[in-house]
Amino acid sequence: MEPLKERVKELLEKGEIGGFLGYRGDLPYLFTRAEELDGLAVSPRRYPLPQILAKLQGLYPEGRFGLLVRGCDERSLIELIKNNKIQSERVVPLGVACDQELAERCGCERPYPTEVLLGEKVEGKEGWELLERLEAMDEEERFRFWMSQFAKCIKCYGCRNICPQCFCDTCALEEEDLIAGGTIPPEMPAFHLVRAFHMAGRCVDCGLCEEACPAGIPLRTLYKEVRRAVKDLFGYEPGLSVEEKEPFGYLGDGRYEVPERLK
Amino acid sequence: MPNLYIVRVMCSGRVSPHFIIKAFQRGADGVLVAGCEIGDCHYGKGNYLVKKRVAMMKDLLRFLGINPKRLRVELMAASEADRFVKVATEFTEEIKELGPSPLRGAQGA
Ligand code: SF4
Ligand code: SF4
Ligand code: FES
Repeated sequence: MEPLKERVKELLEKGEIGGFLGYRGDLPYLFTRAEELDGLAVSPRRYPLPQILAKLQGLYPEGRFGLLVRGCDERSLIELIKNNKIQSERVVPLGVACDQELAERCGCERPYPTEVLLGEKVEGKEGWELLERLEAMDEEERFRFWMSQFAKCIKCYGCRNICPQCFCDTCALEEEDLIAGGTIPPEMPAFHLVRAFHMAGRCVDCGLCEEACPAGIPLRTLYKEVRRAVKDLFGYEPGLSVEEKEPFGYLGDGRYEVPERLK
Repeated sequence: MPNLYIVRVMCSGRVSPHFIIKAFQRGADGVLVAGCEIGDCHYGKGNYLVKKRVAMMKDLLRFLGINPKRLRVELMAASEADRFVKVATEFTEEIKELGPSPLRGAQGA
């Protein structure tokens, strides 16, 4: 913890940041005074810190903040900057590499940020098993699989609420013309298909949605396919660079063609 | 019963992915998105994203076990009536072969 604490202390004392968003115990906490830093922890619990930071920046339009970033947080941060939800000149990311245990539990493809201040970089192991199993099924079987999964949904919106990439001001999932109100499970597959489409070019594979889902729906696998398709169809991978444009974020030259295999 | 139900929009750029999802949820066996050729859009570039959107949606349908052939995008001039008739007939035939959508009788249908 020392290198991180020292760096935060220095930033706070020099007045370069007004607060540092990290963890105290298992919960997110905004450290604003050096004396509080004894409580700074890197909990194995995860929260969408960049999403919280976007709110803080909104509340304090002049404020500059330090932010604890894991690999997944960094990918989220990049997308939030690109989508103008976070101003990059008002955030100082401090990198933490996840340990082997967490990296494996998360099935993370890149369990460390670009610059690591704390911890050692280890390699994670991505979980593609379910996706491969689904691809091996025939259409009908896949349909039955997803419908039986979606049938478990209690429309708690947990997946949306925890997602660092869900940042629209009004949410399509609450649009009653699109998803009828008052039914549980919500219309299938519309509810999940709307969210999946919205994640195209955004999902950073943090896995928080699946962790949050009380119904145990394998959401991450759905979004892994979203990521895989976006990469395959448009050559785009969310969370890698602030400069690269996401495929639905610009018009292009109109020459895009639907690939033969999907026609 | 006519087998084609036309939903008019001002421009293919107006066809939000939500429209496509809603149509399938309501039990449509297929969805054909028709727009002007690139360069001929009355709004300039309203149709530039439509193929990208459809490609993405087709993959998601496929992954959920709904045949991606049920969704198609065709760009043509508004004056090309024969072309529209040809495309619509072909598409209808193809959908007939696929049979009813697995979402028929689903919620909201
Ligand atoms: S993995 Fe889930 S929570 Fe994380 S960015 Fe993707 S959709 Fe959002
Ligand atoms: S978290 Fe799970 S149960 Fe809740 S809305 Fe999302 S998918 Fe449905
Ligand atoms: S007016 Fe835009 S596609 Fe026809």
